[in-house]
Parts: sequence; C-alpha cells; structure tokens
Amino acid sequence: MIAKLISFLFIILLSTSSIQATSPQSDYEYQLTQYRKHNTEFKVLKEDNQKNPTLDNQQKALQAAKQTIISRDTTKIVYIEVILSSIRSQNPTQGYILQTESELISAQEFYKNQIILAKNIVNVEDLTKFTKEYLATQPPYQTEIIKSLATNKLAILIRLQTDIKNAYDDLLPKISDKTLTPVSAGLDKITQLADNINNKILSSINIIKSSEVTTSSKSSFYSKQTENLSQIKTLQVELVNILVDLEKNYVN
Amino acid sequence: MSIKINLISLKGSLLGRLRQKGQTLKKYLPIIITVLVLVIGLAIGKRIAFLSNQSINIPKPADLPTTITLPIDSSLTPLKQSIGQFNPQLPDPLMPEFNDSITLED
Repeated sequence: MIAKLISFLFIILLSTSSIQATSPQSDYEYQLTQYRKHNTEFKVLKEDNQKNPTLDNQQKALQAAKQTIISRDTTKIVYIEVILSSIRSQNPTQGYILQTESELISAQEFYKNQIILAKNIVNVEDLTKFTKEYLATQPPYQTEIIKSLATNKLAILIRLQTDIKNAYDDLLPKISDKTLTPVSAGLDKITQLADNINNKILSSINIIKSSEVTTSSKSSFYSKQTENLSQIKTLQVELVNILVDLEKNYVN
Repeated sequence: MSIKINLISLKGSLLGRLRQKGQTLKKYLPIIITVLVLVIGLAIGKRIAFLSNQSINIPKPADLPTTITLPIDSSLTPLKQSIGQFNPQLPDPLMPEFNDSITLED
C-alpha cells in the first residue's frame, strides 16, 4: 500500500515537473536572484570573519564563498543559454554565427569546470588560488560573451533580410508591368538598399571578429554596434516600405 | 337545560371544525407560500426581461466612439512589424556585474 502511494506521488511529481518546464530567460532570472542572495550573505560573513577571525567564522565565510562561486557560474551558464537559444531560434547558416554558437558552448564548458573546481575548495588558500586562476583564464570567454550579444542581434537582422528576400521573390512575378517608371525606379532602389544592407552586415561581422573587447572597453563596443544595428534596421524599414508600395499600387 | 347543553355542544363542534380547518391550512401553508413566491418571482422576472429588452433598443448617440478594426492592408505588414519590433540596443539581455574576485582577504 505504502509502495503504491509512493509511486503514485512520484508520478505526480514527475508530471508536474514536466509541466513546469522553464524558459532560459526565466531560469536566468531565478539564478541571478539566487546569486545576488548568496553574494550578499558572503559579504556579511566575510566582514564578520575579518572583524572576529575565529575558525568558525572562517568556515562560515569559506562555505558562503563556495556557494557564491557556484551560484555565480551557474548564472553565467544560464545567461549564455539565453543568448544561445536566441541565436538558434534564427536558424543561422552563416559560418561566423555558427562559430559564435560553438564558442558559447565552450564558454559554458569553462564555467561548468569552474563549478567542479569550486566544489573542491577546502581552505582559504584553495579559495585564493582558485580565484587567481579564474581571473587569469576567464577573459577570453568573457570577450566571447560580449561579442556574442552583437552577433545575436546580427543573426536576427540576417533572418529578417532573408524574409525580405523571400517577400521580394514572391512579389516580383506578380508585378504586371515592370517597365513603368515608378516600378523600375523602385526595383532599382531595392537592389541598391539590399546591397547596402548586405555590406553593412558583412562589415559589422568583420568589426565584431576583429574587436579586442575587454570588460573595460565593452561600453564603447556596445554603443558602436548599437549604432550599426540601428542603421541596418533603418535600411530594412526603407526597403520594406518600397515593397509595400509596389504591392499596393502595381500588383493586380 | 337541554337547549343550554345543545348550544354548548354546537359551540364545541364549531370550534372543533375551525380548529380542523386551521390544521388543514397549516398543512398546506408551505405549498401556498411556495406557489406565491414562484408567481411573484415570475412576475418580477418578466418585468426585468421587459425592461432589459427595452434598453437594447435604445439608439446609440451619434458621437459615441466606435471601435474600428483596421484591415491588414498588405501581406508584408507582419514583416514590417517584425523589423519595427527589432531592438538594436546592446547589451541585451543586460549583463550584471559579477563578483569575480571572491577571496577571504581584502
């Protein structure tokens, strides 16, 4: 009877857990809250240990430090997952974007390994050594994360550009008279805008690739990339407006 | 003497009958009340229905704003909306500042 009851409860638990499948974004928000909580606790216990350095206070601070490290790197893994899922949802085929995807997976592996290492910290010396190595080995992965945010936005614009191309291909045979002056002018403008957009996307990719971004220079990187992305968006809006105009006025 | 007795017995029988009738009435009283409540309820319901039917027929004032559903004027509207919704702002999602220098020393 008890066994039946336990198995029933187990099934219920399993079914509810599958229903409550979380998105990477909500996972990230949850982990970030956890990390902030652990970091605050750690700061308090570290201060307690510095004011009153007993073995008990040291152990408490050490445990809080380990917990904060684990929580911090778990948050970073989930943060990368948010970017990855956004990139994947665009179904990218371009080499650079696929390369970014695999580099983000490598970054996730790095943080997973750091969690394993953090679990093995037993004393203050271990913690100091761990943090020293962490600060020395993390920068390339951090750079990759910063760059991937811009790559993700480009992946979205590339997908939109593909959608525009498909809409153009669909619309073109429906235009009855392509020799009309406004039609030919519109088609010429479309070709010109499409070339411009493609060039801007390619140059953005090259800038992202060659950028030596660090945590201190990330702000200027973000603002430059935001400007590029805005320009591409403006050109795409202009291109679609021409397509809408052609569809409205010259398709029977 | 006999008349007196008869009057008393008549009075007794009248009282008995009245009592009997009262008991019968008492027996049927819940049914009567239920029927009355139903009849009154039906009358009120009918009145409410009449009034609510009347309110439907009230003509709308001419200046009353009406909701207009805009038709999708182009097959490219969803694409145009997708481009419009694109947010070029970086960093997105916002990256928090992490404490990467966790030690027990200063």
